[in-house]
Amino acid sequence: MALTMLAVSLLVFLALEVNGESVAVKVLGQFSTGDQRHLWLAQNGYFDPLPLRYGRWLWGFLQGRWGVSTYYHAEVRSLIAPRLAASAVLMAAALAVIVPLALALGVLAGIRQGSPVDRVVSVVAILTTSLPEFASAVFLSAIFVFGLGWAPGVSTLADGFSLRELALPVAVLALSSTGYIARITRASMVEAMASPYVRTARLKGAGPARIVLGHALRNALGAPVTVILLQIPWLLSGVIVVEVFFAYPGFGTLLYVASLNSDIYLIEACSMIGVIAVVSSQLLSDLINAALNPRLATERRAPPRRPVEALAP
Amino acid sequence: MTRAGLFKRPAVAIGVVIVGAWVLVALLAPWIAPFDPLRSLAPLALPGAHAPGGGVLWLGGDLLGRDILSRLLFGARPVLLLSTTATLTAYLVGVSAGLWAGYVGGLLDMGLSFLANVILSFPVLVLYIVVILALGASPLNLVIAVTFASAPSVFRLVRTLTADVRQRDFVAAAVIQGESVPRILFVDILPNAAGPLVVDFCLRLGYTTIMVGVLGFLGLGLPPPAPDWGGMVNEGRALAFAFPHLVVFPCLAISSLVLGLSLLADGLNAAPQTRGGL
Amino acid sequence: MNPEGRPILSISGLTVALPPGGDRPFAIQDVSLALHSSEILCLVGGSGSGKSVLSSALMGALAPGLSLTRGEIALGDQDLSGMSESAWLKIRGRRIAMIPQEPMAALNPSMTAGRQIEEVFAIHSRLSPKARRAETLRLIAEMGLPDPERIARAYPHQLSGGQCQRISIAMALAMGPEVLIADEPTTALDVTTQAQVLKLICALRDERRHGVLFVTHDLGVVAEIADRVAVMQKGRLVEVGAAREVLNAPRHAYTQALIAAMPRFAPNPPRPSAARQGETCLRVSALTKSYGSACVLKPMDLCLERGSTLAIVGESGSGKSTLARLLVRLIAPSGGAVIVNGEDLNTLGPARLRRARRKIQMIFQDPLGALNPRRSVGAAITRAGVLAGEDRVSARARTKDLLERVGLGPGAYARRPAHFSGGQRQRIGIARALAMRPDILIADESVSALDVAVQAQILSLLETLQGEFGLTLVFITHDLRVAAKISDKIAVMKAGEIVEYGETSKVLADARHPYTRDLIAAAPGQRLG
Repeated sequence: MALTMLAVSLLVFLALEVNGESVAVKVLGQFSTGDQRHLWLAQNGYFDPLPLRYGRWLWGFLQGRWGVSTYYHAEVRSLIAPRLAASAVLMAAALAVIVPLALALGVLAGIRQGSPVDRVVSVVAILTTSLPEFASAVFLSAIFVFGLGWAPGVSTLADGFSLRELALPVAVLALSSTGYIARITRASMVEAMASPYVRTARLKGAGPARIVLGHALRNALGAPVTVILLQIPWLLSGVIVVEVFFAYPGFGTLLYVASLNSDIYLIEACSMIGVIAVVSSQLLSDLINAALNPRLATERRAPPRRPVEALAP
Repeated sequence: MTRAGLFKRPAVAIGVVIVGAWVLVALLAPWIAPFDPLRSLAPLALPGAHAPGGGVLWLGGDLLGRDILSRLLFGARPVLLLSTTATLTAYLVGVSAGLWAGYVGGLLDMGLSFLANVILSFPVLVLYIVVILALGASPLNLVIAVTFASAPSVFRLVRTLTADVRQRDFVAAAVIQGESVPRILFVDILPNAAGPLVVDFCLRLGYTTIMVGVLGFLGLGLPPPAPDWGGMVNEGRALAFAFPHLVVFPCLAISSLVLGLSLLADGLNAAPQTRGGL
Repeated sequence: MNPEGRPILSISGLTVALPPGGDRPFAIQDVSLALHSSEILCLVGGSGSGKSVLSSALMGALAPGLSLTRGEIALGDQDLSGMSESAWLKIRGRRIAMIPQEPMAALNPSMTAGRQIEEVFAIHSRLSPKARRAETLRLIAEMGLPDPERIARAYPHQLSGGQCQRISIAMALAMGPEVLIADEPTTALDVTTQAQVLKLICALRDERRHGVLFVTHDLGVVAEIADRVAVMQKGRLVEVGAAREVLNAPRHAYTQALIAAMPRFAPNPPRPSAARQGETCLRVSALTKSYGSACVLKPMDLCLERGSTLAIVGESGSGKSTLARLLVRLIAPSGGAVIVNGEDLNTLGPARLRRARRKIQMIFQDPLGALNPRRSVGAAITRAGVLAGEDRVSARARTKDLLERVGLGPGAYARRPAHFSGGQRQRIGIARALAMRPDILIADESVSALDVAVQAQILSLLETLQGEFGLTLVFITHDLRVAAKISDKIAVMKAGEIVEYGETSKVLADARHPYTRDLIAAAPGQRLG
C-alpha cells in the first residue's frame, strides 16, 4: 500500500509540478510577466534537479505543509479540514441509507429469482444506475423543491448542521449507488442459492428461513461487501457533483472551485487525500473479506496443483 | 440462445432502439434540427414559443436564446463521438496489455498490475481534474483523460479472463503443438473471453457517457459555445427554479442514452452463453 | 445381509416429466422398486439414465421444471407422493436422508463441520446445545475419524475429501433415518479412500439396519457392496434382482453391455507385442520438479520401448499430472532430462524444440476443456497439421482422413465441439494429437470423465491406432483396472515418487510395495466373474 501511495504521489507531482512555467502562470496569474515568473520560480526552487524537487515536495506534503491556496489566499491545510468533515458526514449518511437498502433489496430479489419482486428490483436498478448524479439531482429537485417544496434548493449549511438540507444530497447519492449494489447482491444470492451446500441444507430438512439466513447469506455477502467498499471511489466522484449542485460546503466544492481557478496547491492536496480515502477503503475491503471467508484466513501455503507459471515456449 | 433469440427479449430491443435512435440523430442532426444551435433567437423562451422569423422552439430557448431542441440534437454528436472513441482506445490499450500480462505473467504482469492499481487509486473525477488541469481542456485531452481512467479497469478484466482461459486444456494443447504466442492469444484466448468483454463494453460506454456529461456539468468539458449536454445543465442551473426546461431536457437526453446502453448490456449479460464459451 | 420381509420404501409406477424441448418427454418413466431394511440396493446407469432424478424425487427435491406426473412413493405406511413442502420438511433428514456426490462442495464453506452436524439435531430434535455437541462428537467418532474435537472445529477446506464425505454421512445418519440415499458418494474419491468409505457404509448398514439406495455408475462398486441391483437406461428400469444373479447372468442387453465394458483384472492375454525390442523411444533421467522448497516430483527414471504402453498409476497428489506436463514440456523441470528420440527437450533452442515437440503429443482428461469451443473441429486439427510442417491443402485432406479413422463422419469437419458428445470429443482430441504425426502419445486421465461403455470404446480405439501408427503410449490414470487392461508396463506413483515399476502381469500378480498391494486390494469389482 505504501508503494502505491508513493507511486500516486509521483504521478501527481509529474502531472502538475513538472512544468514549472505553467505552475508559475497558475500561481502568479495570467498577466504576470516573464521576469516575475522567473524570479518566483528561482525563489521557490523550481530550477533544482527534478528528484530533489520531488523529494522536497513529498517531504513537505508528509509534514503537512500543503502550501497556500491561490484562490482563497489561506493555508490549504486549514481550508481542507472542515470541508473534509462535512463531506465525511454526507458520505456516511449516504452509506447509512445505501447499504441496508441495497442489501435488503438484493437479498429479496435473489431468493425469489424471477418473481415480480425480482423483476421490479432489476428494472428500478437499471433505471437509477443510468442516471448521472446531476440528472437525478435535477429530477429530484424538480419534484421535491419546485413541486412539493419539501426540501430547500440549496444545502449551504449556512445556519449550521441541518438534516433537512442533507436530505436531497443523500437521496441523490443513494439513487445512484443503491441499484448497482442491489444487483450485485442479487447475483451473489442467486449463485449461493444454487450452490451444492444449499441443496445439502435443504435435504437435511432445513426450512427456507434457515437456508437463507444460516447458509446462503454468509457466503453470498462476500461479493456485495467488496463492491460496496469499491464503490467508495465512485461515491467520492458522485459527492463532488452533488456538492456542487447543492452548494454544499464540502470537500467536493473545494476541489471544484480549485479546478476552475487552477489552484494548483489546493488540487494537489485534494488529490492526495482522495487517493488516501480510496486506498483505505480497498484495505478495509480486504480485511472484511478475510473475516467473512474463513478459507482466506486459514489457507495453508501448499504448492498449487496447476501452477500459474509461464507455459514453456 | 441464438442471436435472433437475443432480440426477442424486450430489454435488449428497447436498448437497441434507444441507442440506434440517438446514433441516427447524431448522424442526421444538420438535417433534422429546426434551427442553428448557435444562433440566438429568443432568450429564455418557454417550450412551444415561436421564434421571431418563423418556426417553433419546441423545447424552449436557453439563456442566450438558442433553441434547446437543436442544441440537444447537435449535442448528441460530441457525446457519442467522445465516449465511443474514448472507450475504444481504452479497450485497445486495456486488451493488449491485459492479454500479455495475463498470459505471460511474471514481472510484466506485476508491473502492469501495479500501474493499474495506482491509477485506480484515484477517485475517477479527481483523476480527470488532474489530467485536464495538466493537459488543458480540449476534445482530444478529454479522450486522453477518459482513456487513461478507463484502461486500467479493462486491463484488469482482460487479465483475469486471460488467466482463466489459459488454464484450460486447449491452450495447453496449442502450446504443445508449438503454436506461436500471438496466435494463441488471438485465436484461443480472446474469442473465449469475448462474452464478458462485450457486456463490459456496453456498460463502459454508458459510464463514459455519464462522465462526459459530468465533466461538461462541471465546466471541464468542451468549451462554449459548443452544444454539450452537461454544459447545458451547468449553464441553466442558476435559473432552473424559474425555468426548469433549461436543465430537465438535457438531463432526459443523457439519461435516455445511458439507459439504452444499460439495457443493451443487461440483455447481453443475461443471455445464456453458448455452451463451452466463457 | 438378508433383506427383511416388508419393504420400507415402495416406489410404484413413478414418472417424472421433463419440460418440453428435451430429448425425451420423461426423465424417468414407470419406475417400480422396493427397498428393504438392512439392504443395499445399487442403482446403476450411465449419464442421462435418470438415476439422479429418481433419488431427487424420493426426497421431494426435484429441480424446478420437473414434476411428479404419476406414481406413488410409500415410506412404510406413509404416502409421500403429492405431499406438501411443509410435510416434506419433517421427512427430509429425519426419515430419509441423502449423502451427496461432491464431498467438499456439499458442505457450507463458512461453517465448521461440527456445527453442520449439530444443525440436523437443531432442526429435527429438541436436544439442548450441550447435548447436541455431545451427540455430534459421538457421531464423528462412529465414522471412524480420530480426534473428533479437532474435526468438529475444522472448516471443510481443512479436511480431506474422505473426511468431508464422512461428515456428510454423519449428517445423514444423525437422526437415524430408515432410508439412506447415497448419490454417487465415492465417485470423486481416491480408490483407497473409496474402499474405506464403502466399508463404512456396509458396517453402518449392519448396525443400524436401515435401507441404502446406492446410486453409482461403477459396476465394480456394485460387485463389492450390493445385495440387490437395479439397472436404469434412458429413464426406464430395465433390470432388477439379486446382485449375484444380475451380475453373473444378466438378462437385459444393456446390462450385458455394461458388464462387458467393465475393466477388470482378467489376466492379460499376452499382447501381440508391437514393441520393437531394444529401441528406446522415450527416456526420463533423474527428472525432478520443485516449487520453492516443496518437492513435488522426486528424481525418477523411466525407459520406454517404441510401440509399447506404459501406465502410470497414482491417486491425487501423487505427482502423475506433473510428470505428464514435464514429459510434454508444458512446464520446465527443476532438474533431470526428458529424452525423446535421443534429444533432450530441455537443452533445445526454441526452433529445434518446436520441431522436436511434434514427436510427443497429449490427450487430455476433460473432453469439454480440451477443445477450443469457438473453433470448428476441422480447423483445429488442420492447424495442427500445418504446425507439423504440412501445407494447408494436404493438412486438410489428412484431417478428413483422421476424423474417419477415429470413427467420426466427414460432416464433423465444420462443426464446433458443442455439437459432440463427451466420447466423440475425446476422439477429436485423439485425431488432433495424431495430426502432428507423433511417435509418443501421453494420455492424461483421458477416459476418467467418460461413461464405462464409452470408456471401453475409446480404449479399444487407442489400441487400434497404436497398432496402425506404431505409437508409444503413456497412459496416466488413477484406475488400476484400466491400467491393467492396456499396458505392458506399470509404474505406481505415490507422493511424488515411483514406488513400483515393472511388467504389468508381474506387478499385478506379485506386488512388492505395500502401497501397490493396497491399491490392488481396494480396486472394486474383483469378485466379479
